[in-house]
Amino acid sequence: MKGGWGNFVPGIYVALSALLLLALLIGVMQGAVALSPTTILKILLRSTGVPVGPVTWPGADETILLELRLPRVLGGALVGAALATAGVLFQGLLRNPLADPYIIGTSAGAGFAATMAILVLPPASILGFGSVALSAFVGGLLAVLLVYRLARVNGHSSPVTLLLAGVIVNAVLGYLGSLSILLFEGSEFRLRQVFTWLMGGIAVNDSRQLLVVGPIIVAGIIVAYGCAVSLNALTVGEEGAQVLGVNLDREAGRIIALGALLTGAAVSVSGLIGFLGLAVPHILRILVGSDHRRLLPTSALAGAALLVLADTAARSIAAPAELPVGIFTALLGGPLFLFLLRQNGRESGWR
Amino acid sequence: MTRQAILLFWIVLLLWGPADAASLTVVDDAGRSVTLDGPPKRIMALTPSNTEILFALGAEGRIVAVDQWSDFPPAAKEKARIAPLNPNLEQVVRFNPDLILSTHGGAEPLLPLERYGIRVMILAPRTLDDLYRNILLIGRIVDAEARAEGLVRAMRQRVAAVAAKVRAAPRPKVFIELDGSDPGRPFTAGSGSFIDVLIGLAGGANVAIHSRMAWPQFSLEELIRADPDLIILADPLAPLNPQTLELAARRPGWSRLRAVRLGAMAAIDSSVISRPGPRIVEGLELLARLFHPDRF
Repeated sequence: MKGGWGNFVPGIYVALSALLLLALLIGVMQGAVALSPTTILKILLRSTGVPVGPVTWPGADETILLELRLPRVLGGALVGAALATAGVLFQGLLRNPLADPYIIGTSAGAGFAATMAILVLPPASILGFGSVALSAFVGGLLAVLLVYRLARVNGHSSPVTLLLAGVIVNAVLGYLGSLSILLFEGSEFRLRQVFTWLMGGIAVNDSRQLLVVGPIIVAGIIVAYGCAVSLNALTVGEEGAQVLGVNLDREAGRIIALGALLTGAAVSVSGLIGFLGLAVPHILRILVGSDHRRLLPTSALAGAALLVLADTAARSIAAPAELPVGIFTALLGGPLFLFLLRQNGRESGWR
Repeated sequence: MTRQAILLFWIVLLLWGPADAASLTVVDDAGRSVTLDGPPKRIMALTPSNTEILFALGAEGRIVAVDQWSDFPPAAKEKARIAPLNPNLEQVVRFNPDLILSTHGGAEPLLPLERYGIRVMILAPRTLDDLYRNILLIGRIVDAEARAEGLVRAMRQRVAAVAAKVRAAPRPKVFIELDGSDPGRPFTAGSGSFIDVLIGLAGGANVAIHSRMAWPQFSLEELIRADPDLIILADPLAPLNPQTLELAARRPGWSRLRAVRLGAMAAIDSSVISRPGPRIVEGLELLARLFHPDRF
């Protein structure tokens, strides 16, 4: 197996799991308010009915941990795993190193729908999902469907037509979003809200959201693992894959649907978080090689850890203000990616 | 010879004098010198606050166009409208204004028009004193100095009256939400913002005072920890929705907030606190009444 440290794969799983656990721990400890590990443990035990002795912490800390921070940290892990997995799926399917979870229209569809929702819809919520979250989810999926339909010529869609249709739909919807901002007559804060939504931010502030998004993402990641063999076959090209007995059209449809669902679920609670879905698969390709059976689960773990850390930074650095998390995924992931790329002598893991 | 020179001197002075007296050089909030050839007759007001100041000074007849957010007084809605963020320069030139009053961000794209004799002023007050100065400045420009002085005097008196009433009163901790379209990340007013100044003058303690940004998206964790005595919802859509308070009270974590439990929440029309214009004293009085109901 090519790719620097591919011989130490079991070690990588252990290291990434440890990294994720560490990220989760830092994530629940840090924020606008710092909580000590013992307080966290005691609050958690108390909430499940275990007696832990006298309450020595402010009552507010309990609300902060259980109702705000824990859902948000877990949401960040889920979103990171979903975006990284979708990134692997689309890079593998389209055989394009620049592909990311948004490449076939999700970001523009979700962005346009969310922009309209922020500008015109009154706040309302279903199962903890606000009108913006729901619009983003539906808009993202509709745009992918549109790209998929547009790219299908004579019942067949090639990676190149998919890429081009995705780029064009992304551009057109992106400009429509900008247009609606310009035409909008309302408060300046609505425009700021649109701007920060487009830069991403984990907005899980209702644990019920996790009960909806969590199962979709976990199931999606498991099903994605089942696509690993087809994705491996695709690395030798379409013809090669067909020779290997892969039903390309069926597989492509499945992978696109899966990637879109993962991305849509993520976007509904996080806004548009860029860069993570592009960089994490590349980082892992350098570390574990290009076998998708390893690439998919390791990317999910690393994506989860990276986003939890980035979100912790976004919540803490300018506290009590919050910053868009997209800034931190780029600041953490970018240098890491470049470092590994150079360490490995310009071997990006692509064959 | 000497007499001729003196005569010439007087002639030149007489010819220059009237022109000199009519032209006026002022400095705007961006520190730019703006020279007006005479009192402007066609003014474009590209922020609601500038529109409100011009109306308050009785200069509405000189307004040729306003921005799309200028809606007070109601007569302002009858003026022609210009997109303030991305103005169409051709449209602006077509209106043939001799002065444009705008603010940071909105004014910069218009600066090239100074070539055509269209003067642009950037007005961005950060304190009440800045605002008074701007009102007096506009008063001077539109020949309404006495009226501007009267207006500022009345504003100062009302501000002083509020200050006298809230002086020595305990300061309630206040959270003010300026945009709740994403309830997980509400926008509030941090230090350096006009609204933060108003909260202080009205005798309140802004829970977002430690934020280094003027308009931060506030952390819900910090909100729970700060546990404000009063929550003010000033989202522009808030007063329109009768369920605003009820919906906000149901947000995750909010049920434990003292203000929510005690029903110390209010939805207000944000335009009286967000526009640095004459109505800001109404906003100040409104806030002070909410902070100290026992003193009014």
